[in-house]
Amino acid sequence: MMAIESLPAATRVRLRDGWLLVGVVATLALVPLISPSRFYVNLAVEVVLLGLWAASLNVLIGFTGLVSFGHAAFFGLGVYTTGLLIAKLGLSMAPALLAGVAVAAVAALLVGIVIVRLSGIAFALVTLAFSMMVFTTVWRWSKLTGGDDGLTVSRPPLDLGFVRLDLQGAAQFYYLALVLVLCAYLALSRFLASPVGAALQAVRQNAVRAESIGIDVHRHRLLAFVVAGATAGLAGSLYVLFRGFAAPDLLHWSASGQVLLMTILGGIGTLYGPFLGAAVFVVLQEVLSTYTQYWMLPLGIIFILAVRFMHGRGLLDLLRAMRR
Amino acid sequence: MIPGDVTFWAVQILNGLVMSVLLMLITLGLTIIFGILLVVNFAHGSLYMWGAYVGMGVLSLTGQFWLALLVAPLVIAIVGIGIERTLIQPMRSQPVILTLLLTFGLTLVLDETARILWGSNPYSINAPDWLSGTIRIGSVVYPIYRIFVIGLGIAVALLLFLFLEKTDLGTVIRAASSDRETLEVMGVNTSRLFMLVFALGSALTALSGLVAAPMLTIYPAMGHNIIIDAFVVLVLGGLGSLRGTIVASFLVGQVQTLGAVVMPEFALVVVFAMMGLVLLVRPRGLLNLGRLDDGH
Amino acid sequence: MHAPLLVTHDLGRRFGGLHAVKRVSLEVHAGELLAIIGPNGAGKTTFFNMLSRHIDPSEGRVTFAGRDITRLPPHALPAIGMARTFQRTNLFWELTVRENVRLAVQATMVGGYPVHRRLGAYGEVAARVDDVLRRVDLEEHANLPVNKLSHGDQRMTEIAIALGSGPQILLLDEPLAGMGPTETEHAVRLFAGMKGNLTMLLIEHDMDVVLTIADRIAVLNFGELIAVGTPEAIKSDPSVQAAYLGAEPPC
Repeated sequence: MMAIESLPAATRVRLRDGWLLVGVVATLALVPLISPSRFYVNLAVEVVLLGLWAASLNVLIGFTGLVSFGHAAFFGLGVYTTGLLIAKLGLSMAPALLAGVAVAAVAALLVGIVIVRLSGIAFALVTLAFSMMVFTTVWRWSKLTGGDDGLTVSRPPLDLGFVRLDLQGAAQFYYLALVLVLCAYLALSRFLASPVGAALQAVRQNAVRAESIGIDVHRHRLLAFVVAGATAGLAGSLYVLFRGFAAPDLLHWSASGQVLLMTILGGIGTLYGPFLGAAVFVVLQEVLSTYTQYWMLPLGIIFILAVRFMHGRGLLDLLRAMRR
Repeated sequence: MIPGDVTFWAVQILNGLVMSVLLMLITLGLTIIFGILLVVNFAHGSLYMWGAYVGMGVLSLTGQFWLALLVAPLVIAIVGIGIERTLIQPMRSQPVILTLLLTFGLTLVLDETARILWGSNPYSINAPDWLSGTIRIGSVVYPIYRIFVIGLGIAVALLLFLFLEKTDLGTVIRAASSDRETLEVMGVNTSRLFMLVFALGSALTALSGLVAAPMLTIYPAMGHNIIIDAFVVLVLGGLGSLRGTIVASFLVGQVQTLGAVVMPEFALVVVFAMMGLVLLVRPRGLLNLGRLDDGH
Repeated sequence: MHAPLLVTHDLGRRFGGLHAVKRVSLEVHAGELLAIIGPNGAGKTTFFNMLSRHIDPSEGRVTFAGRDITRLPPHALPAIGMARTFQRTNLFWELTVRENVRLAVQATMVGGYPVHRRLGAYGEVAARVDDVLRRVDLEEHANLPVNKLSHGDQRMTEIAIALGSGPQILLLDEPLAGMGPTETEHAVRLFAGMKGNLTMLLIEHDMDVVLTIADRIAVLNFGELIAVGTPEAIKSDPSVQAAYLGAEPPC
């Protein structure tokens, strides 16, 4: 039983270049101060949250060697769990967030148990089928979710018992999101640098060998899948809090395709490459959609050209190659 | 709420058969392509949709349905050849995941192009006069066109089996799916073989799209839902297994149709749950004939 | 020599109509080096694969240190003390020699799923890695990516990984395949040095090597165990000579 041949990690998989991280975080933190307009703050939040989503996908692709075509499912489960709990039950921010992550994690566990034993392509197809199943359920169950009309979610306060924050402003929420994403990133980093993370990479490079030195391949894949799903759920929960609106298209396979593009475009060799991919994607989408409503077409063409000619190497790999 | 009379259930089972045929045509194409090229064509659903649109074009030009049945799959087969030559063939030495991603991107391109050309609004075409109307079997009144679809499916499956078992080219294709290297040594032009197989697979899915058109409406996203069911059939039947595809098409077709009647919101959930249960016990598909990524 | 460590009881495997391994009952004694020889197609690798649990037997049982391991999953073996090398070099190609060995060491030494601890913090892991690298004499190349090594060094890395699991018994599938004379000599010295402390089960075609270092030899032909004994006994066994007629004779 083999996983899909891994994409070429042009450089060995690295986790963080310390100073780079500090620099990026500092820059991001300055955005609301440099530009008072909401436009740039909103753009930055999109990049940060979609970046986390793409990074979680890379835990699967770049580090474990599993390709998922349905990663929108867990993002979407975070969106709708958090959104529905707030809109229908009036939960405050913290429990709604936690619930979003929990639901995504449990869903990843249940699906993962079945699919980690499948061959790579079957795995990818089932993840796709799963995400479309969630999409169809959310879309059709319009009495609960609002279906195509979507769900409006007003941002509740963050009530931590000892302090209560009303984060209604864009910049205020932005800082919360930034802090949480940074924590998630550091946690993932630590996870991937641990012996478990090393085992994941062993599974990616040579599952047969990994198994014969004592690594339980299925269980490690399941662990990676749950971690990736939970992180995507966190990104989704934060996203619905930021947007104030939930729509089913976030669950569609085209959304899974977009996050896949972000991950590959940025480079699967690092945990931060996907953030770069997300940034490029968000900007590209902004620019293209001012020219045409059919922006998916040039996006699709770029996708095809990128894969066809970059052979899975991402922008980061290109930059690094140019520097040499 | 669930009717108990025989007529109702007979109609549902027949509808399930119709769905099975549509799925079978799409998935046979997918599974043959996988068996030979070890590639799953994600754009298969878009080719299904394009088959319907091209068929509609032929129909509006000539008014002849049978002509559309011949021309549309042919046109899409040529498109398939184009795809195989420009996108699949050059990537043969790369990890197969890249080809999968490529076809994923291709879906976006094909779908948006259809939207640009024909708009998002659905079209409908009617079954031709010689296939319209209903037929009475006992207490069941059933559209002739749908009987035709079921018959077409059986015919295509039989033709395919005959082709693979009895013809030289068919034998080569069967051999290719188990031993690529030997074929090359024997001097078979594997490059041309791959092209032909991809064309055949594309033609089959286009046929399904056209045949489905008089029963459903034609719109750019029409491939999306059915391709998911097709992927379920593909995995359930075991990748690369023709027999598995046929059995799985039947199963999924029935479950999907009955589910849509009984619990419409959750039909896909039921299908997915069924697939999950089977895969727990048989990761290589119902008949355990599924291939792994390296073809074994 | 000593107590039997690994025992097969009528172990067999069919592939459809082909009976690849037929009722092989073999005892491997602790501390010995037992070589398995036989003509091509004799079923040696299939037999090995059943021991290392990469395929399931059709019949029979395998016990290790008294415990029935016939249906154990492959990844459970290093923890109980069994490690194997592969006939075709099977390494973690993107990593260095040290990292390859470290993975094997870590897999048996680090329990549970310590997701919060850094890999570098495990001193005992690093110590065992250094020890293994020293024993196989790969310290010089320790930080090279394995895809840059010579074939012979790659084969040694293959062995080093197996040693990294800290096994009681080592299953070696044609470890000398593709090695030049110096490398072969080096490997043979390594095996000879490990005898007594480590049990080794070895598939090998090089009869000179086998006769030199094996404590006992088992001969497979057409899936059957036709002889087991000391090198002297095997050399003079007529059924063994018959099996090799046409191929390399044992002497």
